[in-house]
Amino acid sequence: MYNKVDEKFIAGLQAIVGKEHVYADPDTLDQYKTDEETDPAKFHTPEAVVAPGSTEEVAAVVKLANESNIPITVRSAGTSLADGAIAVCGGIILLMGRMNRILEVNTEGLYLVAEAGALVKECQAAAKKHNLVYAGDPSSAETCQIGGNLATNAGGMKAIRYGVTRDQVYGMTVVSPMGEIMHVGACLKKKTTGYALEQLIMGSEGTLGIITEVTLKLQPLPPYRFDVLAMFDSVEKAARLVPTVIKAGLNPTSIEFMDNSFVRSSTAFCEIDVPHRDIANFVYVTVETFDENQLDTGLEKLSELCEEAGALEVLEADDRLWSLRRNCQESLRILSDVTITDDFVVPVHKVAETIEHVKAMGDHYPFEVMVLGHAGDGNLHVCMCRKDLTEEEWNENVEKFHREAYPYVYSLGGRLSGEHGIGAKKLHYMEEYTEPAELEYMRMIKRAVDPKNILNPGKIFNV
Amino acid sequence: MAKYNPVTPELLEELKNVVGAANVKTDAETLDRFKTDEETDPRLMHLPEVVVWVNSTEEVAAVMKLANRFVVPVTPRSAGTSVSDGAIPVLGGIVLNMEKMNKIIEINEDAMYAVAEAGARTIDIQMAAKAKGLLYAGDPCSAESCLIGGNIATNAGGNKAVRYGTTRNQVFSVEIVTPTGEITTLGSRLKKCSTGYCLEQLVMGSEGTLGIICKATLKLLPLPPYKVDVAAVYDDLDKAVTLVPNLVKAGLEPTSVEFMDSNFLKSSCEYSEIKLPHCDEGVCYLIVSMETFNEDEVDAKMEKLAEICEESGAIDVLEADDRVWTVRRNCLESTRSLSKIAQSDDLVVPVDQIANCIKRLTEEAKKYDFTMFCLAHAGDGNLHFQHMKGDMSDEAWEEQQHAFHETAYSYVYSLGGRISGEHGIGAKKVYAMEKYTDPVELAMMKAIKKALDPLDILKPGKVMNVY
Repeated sequence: MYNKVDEKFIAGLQAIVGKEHVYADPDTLDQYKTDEETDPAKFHTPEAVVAPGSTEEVAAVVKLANESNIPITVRSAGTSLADGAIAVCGGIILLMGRMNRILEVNTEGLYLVAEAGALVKECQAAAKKHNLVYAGDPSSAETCQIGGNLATNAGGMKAIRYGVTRDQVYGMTVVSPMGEIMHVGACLKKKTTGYALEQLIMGSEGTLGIITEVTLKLQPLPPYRFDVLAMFDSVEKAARLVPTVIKAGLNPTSIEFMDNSFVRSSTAFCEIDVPHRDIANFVYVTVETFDENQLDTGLEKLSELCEEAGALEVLEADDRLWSLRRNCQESLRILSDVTITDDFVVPVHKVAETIEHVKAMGDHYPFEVMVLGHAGDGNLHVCMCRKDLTEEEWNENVEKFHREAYPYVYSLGGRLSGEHGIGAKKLHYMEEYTEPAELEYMRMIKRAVDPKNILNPGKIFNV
Repeated sequence: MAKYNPVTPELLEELKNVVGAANVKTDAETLDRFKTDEETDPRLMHLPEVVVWVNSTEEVAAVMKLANRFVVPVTPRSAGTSVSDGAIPVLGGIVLNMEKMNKIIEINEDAMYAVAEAGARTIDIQMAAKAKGLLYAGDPCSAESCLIGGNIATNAGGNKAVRYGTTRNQVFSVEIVTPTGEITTLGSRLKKCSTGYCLEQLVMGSEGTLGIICKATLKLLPLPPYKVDVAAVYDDLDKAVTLVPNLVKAGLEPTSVEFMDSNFLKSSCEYSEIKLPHCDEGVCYLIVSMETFNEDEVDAKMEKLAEICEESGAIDVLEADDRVWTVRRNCLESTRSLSKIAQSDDLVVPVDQIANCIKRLTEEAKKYDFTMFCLAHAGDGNLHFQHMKGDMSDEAWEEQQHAFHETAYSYVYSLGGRISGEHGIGAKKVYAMEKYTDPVELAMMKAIKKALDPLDILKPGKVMNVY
């Protein structure tokens, strides 16, 4: 299908980005055979790794790849949980990390311009300096890059109030799959001037274009905030709290849920002890406000709601306690070498029943079903640990679990992925559970803009 | 240019089989009715060959399949309130009238959504939501007559966009018929989704060229019970436009910020026989609306707003009562006595460029014989310049309007703006679309259109020329 990377191609790449930014040595190639994927069966060593320094260089590389018929896998920080940055069809890895500058912060127009390789935490910090907020806040904010966030439509902690990444973006510079440079979107609050290509490309996981520069929306930073951690002795009680917080008009910024298995693994990983560690399920609530008076009244109301829902204890959630939530994914490493994290999303009012249902499903499987998630927006992360199961037992049971869980999720009006994307990992489920006419619509678009299937092949769906 | 077949008796028979004979009309009177939308210039009108009324998504799909088979173009029509020739069948063929699919199917208070067929009137949806204490936040000025399907196709803006966004932000999902006649639902009632391409956002605002919207699931929001309306008066445009970012940064979340220039203020006050303060002093008005859930907040917000207005240099701040709103509403009417023929721009610029744009283009307009007034949705950068022909000759009017717009459009794009904030491109602005759009972006739009509609059956001649 594709050609192999040869000397001529390497020379071509070197001519574009400079010799020092093209890697074909075994050590480097090995480094990029995976992202956050832990199962070696899913790794794939690329044939070369390239690190461009500008949009023009990216465009030239893509043109060359088209001419030579060699596939490209774009890589931001490699924090993908869906095998998104793995070069499943071989070819080259295109690293965006060199293009990491924040170019402009405009406090009148309320926007920030950054290169795609800029760290999300730096975008957040740049906004905060001016009392503004870039409201995208994925759990991996410390390490991930903004380009990858846009490509996957990353969600994160603040989605319930501010929406997801696609709601934080005015526009981008994109290199098309055939190597042309275009600017999509605009710094405008209203627009009906042709197709919303920026919305199409965001969330397309790099298959419709490479994002090289972004213009992000900035918003006023609410000066007041309170954070609460409520502990419950059952999932039911914890889940019960969620809709009451939303309906009480508190306009929460975040509502995060961690079941007890995650409480135990994360406290162990972070070496932090908490009361009720062995039985508690956690719900974190963050409320931000422009009104100082709301601090007291809001906190009071929230504590009241927690008590009514049956909380064992309600604490102020400081950075330390929040770190428990942020480190949940990482903490799986102490439990098992190989783990899997699902990311399905259901309508918000179905969250409680979904959590209970999937945890109960765990009784019929040789692994525990651990649940954590963005309870306020319906996005749940369901994690399973392979531990000592054989590869065969693991694969068989995971597949079986998915075939039980996914139809259940779809029956509620849910989807396979709330924020991690489909990548290569969920491709076969994507093809199975997506409405055929919709899938065909996607395929037609992909074929039209990337006729040679050069960009991120083997991701989302097969063309 | 794609080649089409004329509508034949054979096709008419097949259409009648799908929708019933009563819903297929070829009489001269009906065809004449549907040769135009809000377009007043006869040279831009075009007769359809047949008008077809549909009653279900399945019927729409069957009609599209026929249209592809016979190679006849289809122009869907909502209420025909397009001001960009969007509903005119510029290449003949079939006008597909959606108005009979007008049911509001469900209002769900708990899960906060409404389901409506594409032909449901926007105002009926607003009222049905309100009856349950909820808000459907799309509010185009034509809400009394327009239909939701057209709103979605054009990503209609409207009065509440500053706070709530445009129509594409009010929609969970749409049931569509694709250009080749397949039925599918795009989007979902989920607060987050990274499961394949965001097709619903692509189709919304595509002005019907990528699919026909048949049904929509709309977001409903809590209805704020308290409202604060204030008019801030400025004698300095630069100071006036600093108000908007200052309001936003203070977290006041205005619902709308409406701008009336001194010309409109004067003419509308005269027409309405209402003397608003300072109306003869060459000032402009910014009408700010805010909503709140909390009665206590009303005074606090009012106070904060007055403070910001004063700090930004307003010469007066008053309550925006019925008198103020009447003057605002009568702006366009008030100019009809000045000129029978008028043309409206729909430019949009970044919010921090509003003053520059108004000043520059007002200066530019002085070079010509036509009169130009300005209304704006200042909170979102959407400017409606009203051009009045007065007693200019047809040739002079056309020539000067063209020359003005050459300069204006280039200038707007140089600011990062666009030629349509909410009215769409339709047929009217295709030439500008082709001229000013990033060529690579335009090529990608065309590639997508061609892939999804290989025979260019659905609304050819709108938005861009594919072939």
